[in-house]
Amino acid sequence: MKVKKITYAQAVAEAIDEEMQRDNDVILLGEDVGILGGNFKATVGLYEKYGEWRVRDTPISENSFTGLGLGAALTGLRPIVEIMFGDFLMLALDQIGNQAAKIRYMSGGQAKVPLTIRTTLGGGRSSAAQHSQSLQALVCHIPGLKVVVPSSAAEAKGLLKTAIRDDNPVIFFENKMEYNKIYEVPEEEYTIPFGVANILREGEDITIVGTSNQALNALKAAEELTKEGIEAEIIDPRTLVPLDKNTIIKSVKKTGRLLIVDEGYERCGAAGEIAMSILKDVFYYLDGPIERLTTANLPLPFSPVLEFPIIPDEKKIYQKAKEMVKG
Amino acid sequence: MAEYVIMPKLGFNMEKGTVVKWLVREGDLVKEQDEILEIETDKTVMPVEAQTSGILRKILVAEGEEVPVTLPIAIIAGKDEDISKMIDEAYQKLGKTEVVEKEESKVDRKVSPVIEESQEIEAKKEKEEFKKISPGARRKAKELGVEVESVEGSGPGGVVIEKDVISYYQNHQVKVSPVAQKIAEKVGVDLGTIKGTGIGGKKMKRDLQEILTKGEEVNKTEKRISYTGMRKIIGDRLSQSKFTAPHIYFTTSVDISRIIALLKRFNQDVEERISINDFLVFVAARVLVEQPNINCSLLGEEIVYHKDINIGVAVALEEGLIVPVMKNADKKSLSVLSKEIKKLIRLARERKLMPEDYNGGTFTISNLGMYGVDNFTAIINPPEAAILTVGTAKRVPVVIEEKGAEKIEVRSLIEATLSVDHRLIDGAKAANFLKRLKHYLEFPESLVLC
Repeated sequence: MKVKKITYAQAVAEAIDEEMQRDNDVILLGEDVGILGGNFKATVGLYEKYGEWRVRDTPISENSFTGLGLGAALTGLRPIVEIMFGDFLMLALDQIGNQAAKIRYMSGGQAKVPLTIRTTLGGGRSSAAQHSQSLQALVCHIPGLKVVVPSSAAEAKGLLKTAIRDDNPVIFFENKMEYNKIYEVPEEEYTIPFGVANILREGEDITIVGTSNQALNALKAAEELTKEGIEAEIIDPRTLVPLDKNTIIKSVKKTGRLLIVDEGYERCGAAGEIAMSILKDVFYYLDGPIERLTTANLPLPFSPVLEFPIIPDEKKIYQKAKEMVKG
Repeated sequence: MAEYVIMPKLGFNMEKGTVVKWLVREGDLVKEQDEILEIETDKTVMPVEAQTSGILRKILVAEGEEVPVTLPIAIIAGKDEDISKMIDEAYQKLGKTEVVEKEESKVDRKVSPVIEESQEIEAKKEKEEFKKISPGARRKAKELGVEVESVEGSGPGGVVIEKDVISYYQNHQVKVSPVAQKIAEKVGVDLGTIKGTGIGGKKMKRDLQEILTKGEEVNKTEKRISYTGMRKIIGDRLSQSKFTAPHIYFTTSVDISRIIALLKRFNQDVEERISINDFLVFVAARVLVEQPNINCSLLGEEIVYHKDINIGVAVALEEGLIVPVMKNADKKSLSVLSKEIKKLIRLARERKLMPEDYNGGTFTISNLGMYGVDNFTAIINPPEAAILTVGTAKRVPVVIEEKGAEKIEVRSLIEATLSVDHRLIDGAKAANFLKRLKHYLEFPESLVLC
């Protein structure tokens, strides 16, 4: 397989570009997605290529332009709405949770909603409490929405193309700490299906499920764990809704231990949900309690000295996994 | 944990049992499977084993007393466990009062505070010594037959994990000499029952030979057991059926290739697999809905056409045949039915079926496919009017017509035989039942239309 080296932001832009080229109904809406090329440079070049009718800068009004996207989706287009920070999902939750998520159901399947909402998660930029949250659990809670949490650039590209082609509303969480990192991405066109987890590394002693870039952190931790004689199996679930439970169940049956790493808050979070949703199937195979590593139940501090200690990272994963296996 | 010893139900018709003799006394330590008393039922005396380990704290039913089955007759509990509530409850069930006992124990407590204190300390100790065993380790131990309490834990904080059970099992494997192993395999002797006299309890050739020569002596005398209990009930019912109901039999071959393919897809990545037998029950129930004239009984002077479709599935046990019944099988989905069948078969094998689990059948299916039988006729299970039997699935060349041309294909065929009571069901009706059954089994797609 031929690969090229590009940034995560470029991979996102490529996915949108390819889909806009493939399908004239695909449009892009959001704050600064046009002339500026996106706050995180993930839409560079699209305005120039497709013009202001298909790449639209919007006022600072999340609920309105999400509603605009929803309307466009209902009337035949395939819009991509960018909500710059996942934190701002809160402003658009009525359109997302009460409208987009419900219309297909309430119309008895007559209306489809091919709407993709791109937004971000992740702390670590000293963006403080209102620009650092990882709110994937918030939307996972609402039936009718698909929720994607890609790890690397290649994963983001393949999954975003699938999201755009999906006839249901998809909330797509890009990781803002990853945008500038360079990754290998396949040259040729590809998509990645929803609901199929990716086993990044095989191991016998513990299963670590990591969402978004925590899968990559877990992979790094696994290399360190090898030195302790611990072989970790790393799983990237890719999508939280739908969740590929079978892959996780199969792995935990083999290893007897499960650690879930998710950057969302711990309380009512994705990690707890994953654990509970498979517990019944793996209980009699467990060698210890299922554990989770998440962001503490606190507003994220501005100060890096305070911020980093409450976010999961590769060292914390290493430490926790070691504790779980060796005590 | 305190547990009752109950008067066991040893035969289908056993309603009461008499305590003949207690083999242990109150205060004695008993282990699981120890024989603790003898009971009398239907003129046979049977020993009763303890279902749990502990101290026989209380005998509730004295020797010579008769009580209904499943009522408590004694209590096994920990040394210091409070069983006063259990005693009250038991006496209530038995319709007895025994106030004296209670007062005695109250007095006991008052005069001996020292004992109470030491009891407390021991209870605390027990709590601290709680052994952590992971669910995975427990499962594995059960699979391998390892006493998990004796396994040393290597997990965090000394928790026993699955790996510990496996290595314990490997280290405690029965040692057998290669020659003894070979002989055992040849003559089909279970090595587990033989005591080893070699080094470290190793089972040697001489140990086997000793058993084999003894075995021959035993075989020379006939074995005689009384024709009573479950065996006799089965015998009486079947004789009555066979000698009063004129049986007629109909056999047809059914191509189940499509069902095999369908189940293969259903069973992908599923823990609880759906079997061909489950499918058969499912389909038979649907055919009975269409043809209620098969789902009937001759009761006295009336032919009763049942409103419910309750299908029994014959299960072979060591002591005889038992037929657990899937109630309202026509109203249940395939997956629900499959789960229920598995559960009832398991309960049957564990001898835990309750009367409601095997009563009220309106139709029976008996499947001997797993024994490689091609086809067989069964005796109708009264008061039912029909029974379906199924043989083994065989790969057979079959002539198939496709677009006017005939060709030969290899298909999976089973033979299904319906026995019906000719007093109630005529040949054409029975044949029609088989025809529809065959139709659904060969074209399972058509079930969607049901």
